Amino acid sequence: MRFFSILLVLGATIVGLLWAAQYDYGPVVINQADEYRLVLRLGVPQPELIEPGIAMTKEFFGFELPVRIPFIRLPLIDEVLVFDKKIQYLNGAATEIEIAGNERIIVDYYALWKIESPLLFRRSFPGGTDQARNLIQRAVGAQVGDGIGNLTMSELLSRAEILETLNEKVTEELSSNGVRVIDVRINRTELPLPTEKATFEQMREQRRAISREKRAIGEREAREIRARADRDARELVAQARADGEVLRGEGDAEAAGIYAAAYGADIEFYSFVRSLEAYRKTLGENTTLVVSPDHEFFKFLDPSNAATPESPGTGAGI
Amino acid sequence: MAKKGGKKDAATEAGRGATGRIVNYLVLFASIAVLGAWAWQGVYNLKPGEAAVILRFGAFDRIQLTEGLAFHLPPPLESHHVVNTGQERSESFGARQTRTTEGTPADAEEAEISRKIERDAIQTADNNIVNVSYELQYKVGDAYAFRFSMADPAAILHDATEAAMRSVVGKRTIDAVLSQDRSAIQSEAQEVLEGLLLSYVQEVGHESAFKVGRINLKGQAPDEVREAFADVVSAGQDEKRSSLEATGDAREIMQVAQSEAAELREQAAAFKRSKIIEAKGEATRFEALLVEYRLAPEVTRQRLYLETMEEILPGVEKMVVEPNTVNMLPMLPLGGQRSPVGGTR
Repeated sequence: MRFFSILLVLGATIVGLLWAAQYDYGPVVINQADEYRLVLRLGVPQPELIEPGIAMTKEFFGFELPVRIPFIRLPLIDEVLVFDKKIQYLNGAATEIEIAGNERIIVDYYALWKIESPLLFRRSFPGGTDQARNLIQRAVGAQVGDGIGNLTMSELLSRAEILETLNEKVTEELSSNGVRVIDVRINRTELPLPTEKATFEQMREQRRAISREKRAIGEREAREIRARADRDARELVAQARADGEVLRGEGDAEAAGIYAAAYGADIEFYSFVRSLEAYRKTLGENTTLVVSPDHEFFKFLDPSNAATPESPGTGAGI
Repeated sequence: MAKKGGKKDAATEAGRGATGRIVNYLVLFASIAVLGAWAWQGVYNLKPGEAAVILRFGAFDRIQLTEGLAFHLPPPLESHHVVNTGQERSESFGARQTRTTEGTPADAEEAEISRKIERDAIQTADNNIVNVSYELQYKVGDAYAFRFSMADPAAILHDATEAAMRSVVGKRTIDAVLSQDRSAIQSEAQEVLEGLLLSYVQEVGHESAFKVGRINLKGQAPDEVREAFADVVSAGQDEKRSSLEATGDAREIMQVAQSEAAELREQAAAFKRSKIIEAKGEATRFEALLVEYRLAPEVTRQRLYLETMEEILPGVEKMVVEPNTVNMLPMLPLGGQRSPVGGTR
């Protein structure tokens, strides 16, 4: 019972100590996953606590120990400082930067940074994160200006990786401050108003050119289609006409054959009959016929002829 | 608490007799109460969609995903941090077309910059400006990375998405953004964004803090040039229309031509047929006449001649002139509508 009580009390004591450590009181120091801890013993920095867990050490008041024991914090003498281990977000102010070709562009960027060494950070920025933020903002801003100042507009737009080397440059610059810049990235670029207007004008011109071209293409296609149709149509009609001529020729030929066969029987009679036919066709109302009274047709107008039917007319002698 | 425990410790050593026993029990009871209260700190409850990150002595130990009551070693041995990983989240970009009227003289530059930041206009590779609006759908990925690797995860996600979208759109032409390439841009931006987010948690040794569902992109020509862009569309329609019209015309032309061709062929065929029929008819008639003629040549001939004359002469103006008066011919009324077809004789 007594032993149990002692054990219980001892356990409660340990728990109490750990509990206190959680709130940075008591003799044990526990570091959280997203934090650094730096212990200052009367202002003298002790080893930094980078990794999470209970702070361990091999040193005990100047002596080297064979095993690691928990770091014993001396109340009132040791001061525990906490730093954020997380990646910090820095929203760069949008700035207008002159780039190659005297063009100007407004660039908005962000930077991600984190504390790399708490001790160096504490030395540089006693005011803490806000103070660091100012310096980093200025350093990154300057590097962004330098980094893109000699690029052309198209280079700037087409290459996202431009700023990748910037991290290293800024980190180098700030390494003595215990800060590492993880990423600097442009998230927006904007053109100043005059440039923007010029760009809009240019865009409009481009679109107009495209519109005109499209309409012209349509016109050309239409003409081509019509011309082709015209050509085909003419061909078709000409072919039909040629075929027709052949048919007509055939008709004429065949008719001629028929006529020849028929009329060949008596050529002289044919020419007589055909002549009469021709007269019938050609002599009409608008014809003035000047005839001699001796003409065969008027033969019987002469009373001497009318009397004796001697000899009939000698055929068609008009 | 620690101080309290210390006091009781000292009291047990001094405790003797009845009062000591009471004190003993009191201490025991107090210790049990403290331990019980402490243990109770390790009990926690997870609602659907939530995950708990369990740290042991401040270091990552495990992620608890099953819902309901759960227990971990009480703090400060272990601690839990609840993150909602199931919830679908979304964030919209751009689409704010509020453009203030131009020409505010006081700190115009300042106003200009803030105005520009308000909308999401991106320069494309062909030096055009396109207005884009897009929506990011995401969930929290790794709860530990979300909670412990970034100070302001939402802001980082927002700006990283913008950077990714800008870098992808900046490599394309405006036509690609407005029409053809949209899904390609969406998936490429997603890839870039995932790469960025992963690179930010690299040193933590965890998965990405965000699980990107998809990015929905909508591109639009800026107001200032929208008319010109619309005209391109209507020009395209004009193009199609005029070629369609021409095709219609061509069809008509071909139909007309075909009908003309058919007509010509038919006419020719008709001509041929009629010629032949005519010839046959005439030939038959002639043959018939010839038969008759051969029976009585002189009579037939005379009859034919006279019949013809009878037929012709009534309509013909006749002038009977003595043969030796031929020289009076020029005085005939040859003018007017009289055609000299009849000729002399």
